[in-house]
Amino acid sequence: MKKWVWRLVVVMVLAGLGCWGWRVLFPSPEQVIRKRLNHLANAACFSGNEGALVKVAKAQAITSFCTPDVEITLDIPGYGHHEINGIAELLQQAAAARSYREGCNVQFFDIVVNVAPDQNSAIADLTAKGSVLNDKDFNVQELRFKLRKVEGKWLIYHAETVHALTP
Amino acid sequence: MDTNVNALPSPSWWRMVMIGRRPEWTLVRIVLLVAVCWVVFTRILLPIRVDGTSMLPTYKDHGVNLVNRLAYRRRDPERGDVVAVRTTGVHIMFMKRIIGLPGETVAFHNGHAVIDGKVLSEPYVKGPCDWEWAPETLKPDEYFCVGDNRSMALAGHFFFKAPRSRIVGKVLL
Repeated sequence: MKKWVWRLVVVMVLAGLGCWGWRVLFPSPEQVIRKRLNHLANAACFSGNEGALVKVAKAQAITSFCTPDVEITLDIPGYGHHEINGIAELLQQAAAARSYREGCNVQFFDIVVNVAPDQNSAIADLTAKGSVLNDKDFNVQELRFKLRKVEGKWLIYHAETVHALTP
Repeated sequence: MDTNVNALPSPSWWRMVMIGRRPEWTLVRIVLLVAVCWVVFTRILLPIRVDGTSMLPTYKDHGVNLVNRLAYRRRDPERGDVVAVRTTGVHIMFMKRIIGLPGETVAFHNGHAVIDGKVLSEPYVKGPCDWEWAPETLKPDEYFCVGDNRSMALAGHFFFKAPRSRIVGKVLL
């Protein structure tokens, strides 16, 4: 193969590695928020055979993504209207959900993040897919999270369901 | 004695099969093929997997299909088109049929779709239907989208008014 082709390939690979390294070492606020929200989705998943301590630990893990004054408004067809105010109520609800459900899987897709010009607050719109374990039916719901940067960490202070496609 | 010292040794058969006679051109072909596939399957034809029974019997659960993203670049969606409607992105979309166009009044009476007071002929709907839905007028950029499986209970069937900006494209097959 000609020398210039190899040089071009090497330059392209190095440029790609450089871009990847830069993004890993210095992630943008959008990347950080997407990563945190995906961790939140993982924390919201649970299986029915978890021990009591694991349940409590995972419920507490959810609260670590939120500010103490978090407000959550959920209006999901088939599940009714729910409001959660404050981190203590969130912990209580998360623990309660784990105790009477046989397991749940939550995934977030297409997270669109808009960071405010001051770089201290952001809005994230996403599509959540939730299903009860061992059940082939699932629910799809658009959600909006409002986040603020507190001591270097992006925390959720408001979450709500979004009904962009209504009958 | 005349010998050709510049002649290349003939490559082994497996090398010929795997990377061709000229590896640099094989590399170029691979890069081009990957680029073309990426453009086609992210910008033009989106592969989708049907999940659910709301489009029965036209589209079966777990079927695979393609969405033509260019279908509505030069024209607007039409009644009867099966379209993909995005959520916050295209990883999860709803596949529905358009029955109501912008500005029209849509209702369901005795299981029949009624558009501007006239019953809509829908040969793709099989099976009994008893839906009742009060007349509703669509906004100038709204399309009324509903599945073909009207045998489902109205409460269990997700249908909606979709803004034009949410319609990703037309289902191809």
